Amino acid sequence: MTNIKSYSKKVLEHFRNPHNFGKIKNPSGVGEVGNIICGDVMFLYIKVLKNKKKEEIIKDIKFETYGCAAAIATSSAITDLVKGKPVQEALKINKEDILKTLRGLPPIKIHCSLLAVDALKEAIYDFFIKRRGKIPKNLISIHEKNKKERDIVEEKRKKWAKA
Amino acid sequence: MLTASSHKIYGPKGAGFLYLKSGILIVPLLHGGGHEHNLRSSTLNVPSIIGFAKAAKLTWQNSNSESKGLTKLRDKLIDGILKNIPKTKLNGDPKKGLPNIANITFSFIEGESLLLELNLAGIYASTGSACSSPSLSPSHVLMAIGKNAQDAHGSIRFSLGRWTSEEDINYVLKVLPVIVKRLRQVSPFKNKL
Repeated sequence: MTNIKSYSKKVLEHFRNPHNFGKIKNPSGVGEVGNIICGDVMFLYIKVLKNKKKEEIIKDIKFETYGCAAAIATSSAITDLVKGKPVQEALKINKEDILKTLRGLPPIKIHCSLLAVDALKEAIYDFFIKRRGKIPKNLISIHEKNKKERDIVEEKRKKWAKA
Repeated sequence: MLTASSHKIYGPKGAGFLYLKSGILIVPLLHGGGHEHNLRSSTLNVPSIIGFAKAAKLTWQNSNSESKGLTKLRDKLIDGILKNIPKTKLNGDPKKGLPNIANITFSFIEGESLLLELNLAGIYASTGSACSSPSLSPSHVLMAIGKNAQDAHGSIRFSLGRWTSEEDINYVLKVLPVIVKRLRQVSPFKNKL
């Protein structure tokens, strides 16, 4: 097991008392990602509303995660980073931002922070699809990659089930 | 051939024995002074050997009563968990299993998170979760007895020992349902409850 001492205080705080978990009714977008390496699963729900300047703002965000302490902590951390931000800004959030708020992760758990970033991108992609707007090119390629990985996770699960 | 380790029966670490049927030839790993019939050269660790012998004697003398006591506590733990926490399953035979071990699946949550929470509550267990193994794949033993990957990830092994008391079991049974409930609230699979 990853030793409890290898997690920062911040990670343990988020793990033990996660922010913004649960579901959103009628979400604007949902992102579902699975982790190829360890089988973790994360769902991210966003509610997008326009402000007075007609900017699209992520008003609400919630997560549901099946995974280790690092997976739960990164999920919670990303909701804090995203809540209240314009969609365009949320798209810029990367794994370094998450690692920074969590004061780092043990090396073997770094992949968990990517899971949260990918889930957010997926949720925003889903939002773009639903409102029939233009989708940035790099977001499409990220979506393709995530989809491929989700299929691999599914395959892996089937293989594990047979083994 | 049969090998056994001293520390498994509360003897000192670093001693063990090998039972070898006559006629079986093995190649020594250590060469030199020709100790132990040329099978393991090196100065003998006498205090550990004496300690192992004493531990073996005590284990032999007490094995019946100890097994009975452990079985009672183990069954209390298993029954308490299965009754009070939904979607839990015992892995292994309820009667023929070892008296000191209970391996249980907690559906919809991942073993490492559960272990960490238990750890913070002063309870130390182990898991077949991928997140705790260097390979990050689920326990092959649990998979072999028909668990799916997710259930294998969510399985915890509780081990009891000579100094485990009924109070300890009561404490686990008090703390565990709260932890499982909390972690399930965060899980996307909880609606299958």
